Amino acid sequence: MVDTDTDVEHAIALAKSGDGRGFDTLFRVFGAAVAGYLRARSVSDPDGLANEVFLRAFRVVHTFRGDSARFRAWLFTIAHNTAIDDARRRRRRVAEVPLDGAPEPLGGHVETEVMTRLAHERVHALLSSLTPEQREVLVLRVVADLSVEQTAEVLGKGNEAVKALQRRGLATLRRALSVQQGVPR
Amino acid sequence: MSEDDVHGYEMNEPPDFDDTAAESLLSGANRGADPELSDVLGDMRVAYTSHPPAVGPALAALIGSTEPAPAPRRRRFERMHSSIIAKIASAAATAIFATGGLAAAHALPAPMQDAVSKLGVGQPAHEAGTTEVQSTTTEPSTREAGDTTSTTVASPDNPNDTSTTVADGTTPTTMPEHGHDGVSSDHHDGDHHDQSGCESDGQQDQSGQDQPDVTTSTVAPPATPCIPTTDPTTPGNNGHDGTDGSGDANATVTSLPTTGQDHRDQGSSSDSSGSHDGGSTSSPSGGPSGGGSGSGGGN
Repeated sequence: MVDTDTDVEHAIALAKSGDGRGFDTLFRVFGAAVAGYLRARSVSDPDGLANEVFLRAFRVVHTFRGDSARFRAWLFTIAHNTAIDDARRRRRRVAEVPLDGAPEPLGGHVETEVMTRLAHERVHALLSSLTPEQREVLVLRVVADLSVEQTAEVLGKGNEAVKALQRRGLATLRRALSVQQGVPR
Repeated sequence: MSEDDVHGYEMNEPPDFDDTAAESLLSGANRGADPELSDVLGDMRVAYTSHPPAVGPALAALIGSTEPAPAPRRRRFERMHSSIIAKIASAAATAIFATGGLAAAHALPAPMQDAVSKLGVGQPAHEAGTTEVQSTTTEPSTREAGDTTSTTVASPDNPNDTSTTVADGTTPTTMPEHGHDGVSSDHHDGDHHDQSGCESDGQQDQSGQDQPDVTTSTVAPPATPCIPTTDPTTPGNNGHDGTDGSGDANATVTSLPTTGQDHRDQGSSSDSSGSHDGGSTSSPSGGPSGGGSGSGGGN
């Protein structure tokens, strides 16, 4: 498992030199998080857009300066902009099939897939109660595993604004859970 | 913190969490503070990150470590490419065959005809007008020294430039069974006929009155004057003195089949009997059997 900062920074160095092994390592480390972030953003084609994010990143990775933490923020900035572009494209299209509630195809382990799908539906329903900015901050903090500073960098906001959004977002989620359980708070 | 960072309604709401509690929930370090909300955040992390994305062809090509999926466009291009080669080859073969056929038929323009003739197909353009070979062959039953056999190659452009005379007694052309088959009634040039006796249209018609079955197939064209180069009074002229022009006119017949022999037998009293004298024409079968006509005398 290649997940340490040293390994990621080595992969970044390889990728900057054009070595395919660096691209492969970075994709395996960050691929699931990028695709999850895009799924949470309800993009039309999460896997395809994740590929597009990495293609964009690898084309300009030689211009990147920083460590692994900075690279993560840099990569999700690209993913954020890609999701915005996708939303704009979707608005321009005449007919668009929403994939928010589209079920993922079942894999080999049916029980795990069903539980994952139920969790996904539950989480998706809870996230729909948040404002877009609250949802964006919480998804970046939880799914993308970004810090407050990294989230602020991706969104172009201040750290305090991100902290405020995450506080209120968590409060909204708690209230939504209480409604689901029938226990008002 | 400015008002631009947070919505107004959020600024007015009292926060449910302080920053420390929120940070501990989001990091998953302090589950005990709010287990239900902590579970929801854990489910969110698992639900959205449990499916790593598939590597697309473009990214796989960039990475290089993963086998890229074969691009359908490339397969289509390869099929189209091979199809294009086959079409080009087919078109080239068709063009070659068509050009060869046209060259053999001398239907190509002159420069192209010359170029193709160098490849062994057809004849050059400047020889295209000399394709008809007119041969008048005299084959006497008994060949003597000095016998000449003429082969006339007539050119529409320069008819005086294409005669060849072989004097060695060998006949370069074959004698057909029916002599008139090898003689074209066209292009009878008087200068190149060795012993043709075509004189006039009327004479031929005159002789044709008696033997229409023979003269109609062996006479020269009406408009072409035929000047006999052989003295009709020479020995072997079957005793005719040559004054009977009708007989000389029929002398253009290169050969006479058995019908000619019958004709000679029947026409001994007519002017057409001279059509087979003078040795100008004789058939292997008709000559010796000519009897009194003496056609086998030859020159």
